[in-house]
Amino acid sequence: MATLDIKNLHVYYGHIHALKGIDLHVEEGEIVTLIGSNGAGKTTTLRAISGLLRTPEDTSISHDGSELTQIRADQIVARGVVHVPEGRRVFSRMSVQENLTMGAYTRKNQQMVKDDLDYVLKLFPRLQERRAQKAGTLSGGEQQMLAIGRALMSSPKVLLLDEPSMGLAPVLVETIFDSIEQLNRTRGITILLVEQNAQMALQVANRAYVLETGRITMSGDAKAMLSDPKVIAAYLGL
Amino acid sequence: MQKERPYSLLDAATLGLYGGIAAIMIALVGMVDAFERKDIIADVVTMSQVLLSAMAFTPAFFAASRAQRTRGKGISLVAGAVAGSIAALLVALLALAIVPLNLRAVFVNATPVLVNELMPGDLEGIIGAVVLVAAGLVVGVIAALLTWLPGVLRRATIISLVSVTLIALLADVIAVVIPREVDRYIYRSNGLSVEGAITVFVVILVIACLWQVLQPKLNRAVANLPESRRQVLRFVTTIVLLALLFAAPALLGSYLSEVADLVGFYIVMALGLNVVVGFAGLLDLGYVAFFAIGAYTMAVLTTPELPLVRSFIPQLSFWAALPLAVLAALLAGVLLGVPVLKTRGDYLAIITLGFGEIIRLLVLSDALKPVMGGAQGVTGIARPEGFGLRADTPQEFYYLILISILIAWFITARLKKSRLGRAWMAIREDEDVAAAMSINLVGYKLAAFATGATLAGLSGAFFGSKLGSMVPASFNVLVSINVLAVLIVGGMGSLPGVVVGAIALIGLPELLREFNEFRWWVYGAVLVAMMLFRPEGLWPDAVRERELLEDHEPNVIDEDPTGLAKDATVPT
Repeated sequence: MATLDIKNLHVYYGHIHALKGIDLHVEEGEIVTLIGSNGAGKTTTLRAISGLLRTPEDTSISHDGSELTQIRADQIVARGVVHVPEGRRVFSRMSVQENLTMGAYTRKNQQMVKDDLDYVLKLFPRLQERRAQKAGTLSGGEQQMLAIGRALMSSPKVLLLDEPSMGLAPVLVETIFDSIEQLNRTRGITILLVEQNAQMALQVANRAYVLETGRITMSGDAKAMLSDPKVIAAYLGL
Repeated sequence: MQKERPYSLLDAATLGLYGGIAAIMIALVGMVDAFERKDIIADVVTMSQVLLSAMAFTPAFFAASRAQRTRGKGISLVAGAVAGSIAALLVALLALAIVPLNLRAVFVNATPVLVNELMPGDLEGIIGAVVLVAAGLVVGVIAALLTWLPGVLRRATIISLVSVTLIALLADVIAVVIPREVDRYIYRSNGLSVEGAITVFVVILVIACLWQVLQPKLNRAVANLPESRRQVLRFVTTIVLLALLFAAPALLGSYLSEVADLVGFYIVMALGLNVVVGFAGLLDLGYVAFFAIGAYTMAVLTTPELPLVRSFIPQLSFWAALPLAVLAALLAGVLLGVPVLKTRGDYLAIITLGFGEIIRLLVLSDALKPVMGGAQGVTGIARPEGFGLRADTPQEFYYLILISILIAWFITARLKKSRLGRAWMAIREDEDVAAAMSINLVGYKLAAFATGATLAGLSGAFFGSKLGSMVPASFNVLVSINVLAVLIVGGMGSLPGVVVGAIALIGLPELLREFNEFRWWVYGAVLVAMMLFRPEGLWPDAVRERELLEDHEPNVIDEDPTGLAKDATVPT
């Protein structure tokens, strides 16, 4: 049984049929990436999974066998499916520390929260240095680290990452992707990664889906896709 | 830092133009005529002269201080003179144009009398106009000279000038509170006496100077105290403040207590709306609805009228009806909240606006007249009584309102620092991310809405009882807007800001009866000026202040290509 199983996902924005029946599954412990160009529907897919968008009746999104389409966004987080929205949306007027504690808002076990905080600060030493600083004054890369760190604070089973490389310098992109691989390996967190930077995404992922104007046009092993001529022509720009 | 462009005289002229246009408006709306009979200093300076001079003084002051910063003192004099005389020139042109162009056909206040009032002394025609421009020039130069003064003295002078004007305007109110001898000395039957004005000016000047010099030292001294001593100090200040508040009605007399009561109603309401808008960031434009529900519940439950209602429910006393009124408002908050809070931003504002109107129209409607009293409203609402006491006078009511303010203050101050407060803050900042933190948006928004509604209901219940009778007209949308304006002017999210805002926007206009006709006009002007020059409010919340000030600084989002450089400096 897949940990995240999406069947027949449709999303409509008014008259616009943004997602036209997507089937996608993520197995436990996997890194799966969803690549595609602007407007293909990548972000929409993640927003639908995390409950920020409404889906029609016949769409099914299940996590560990239980249906997510019928419950609220905050309940989905409580089930362990956590969304890191694109564009590094940190609470810019709160400090780094406050942002991270916000992530553990509903957790009761303070000892586990503290352990997770230590883990996040070890994973991103940069955040440790800037704990007291306002999140709005961090650099883009640091804000992305904070956004991911904050999501980790809610002890996720599945992390939905939306364009973590967006607008970052190449060196920082590498750092971020290293951390993603690391938390997948050491913590066993399942990751669904949406990326425009297909090269990076395919390198870290186990499997990949290609999304084109609301439909999945290709899927398979990520490493294989790296050498697929169609993918190279369309997304790798080589 | 961006380097400031050297100031050109054209900029000064533009500022003068703004001043002149403002002066023309003041003249055409009838303020000049109305204030010609109100003396600031008896038989020497009238209120309209003060107003018109201010329209030359203010642009000249700003022009001169900017000119001085970039071009030096000499130019600042010229800039002040240019701005002042151009403002006066516009007024002079208006005075010359009124009769020949028959402006009265359009502006009812543009009468020959106005021409006389605008012209200096008994002069008229071109000579009058020239003297007027010269007067503007002199005012401009004076304003420029003022900018030469050191900061402390400059600010003190301006504070003193404004204070003298206010003290003259508030003569009736102040005379009640001060000893007879002082009253005799500083006031004449119409405005301040000359020696009174000078004394007041000097006293306030000295106080303002001393305060500016001593305050930072005082702050430092307090900051250096050990924490335990500071706690004692805080405790003592709170006690003194409370003692003053409780002693106030005896000093203030009936009229001022009445005004204080009105301000109090708004403080309780604004503390509630502060939770909704300031903490949780939900723009509620129909807030008056909950105030109305509190007031009407109190009215309907305690009035001897409305036989239909009385046949179901016995007539209750104030204290029995109060919890029901608050509960009714709370329930209404929850009931409205459930469907409405799934919308955000502008949509929420429009829906709440509609809800406010629905409530007003419901209580106004003929269909509900047997229950709500219809357009004639309800009279005979119970007064609070108990232990052989009965609150009838404004002074007695003051205590009840003061207590409800203290309760509202305590509740909202605690909420702000609580877990709930942090969730609201997260929702205000970014709803989506808050949801991704597992914050139940609807639940927490509902909590904010209900808290706000409860406090509005509390305020409304006291309001209804105080008035003794009420009509639907008391609950129009302007009340909602007023409460919102109190928050904005005071400082969104800040508790002391609510009090300052309510005093400034509700108390002052009530006291400045002379402005009554022009109340909304001045109100609008003040709001525009506030948003331009002090958008964070009079007493801003620490967090809010930071975010508004940050907007003026360049955002630091440049990349550090070295990645996780360990030697990166950490700004503290």
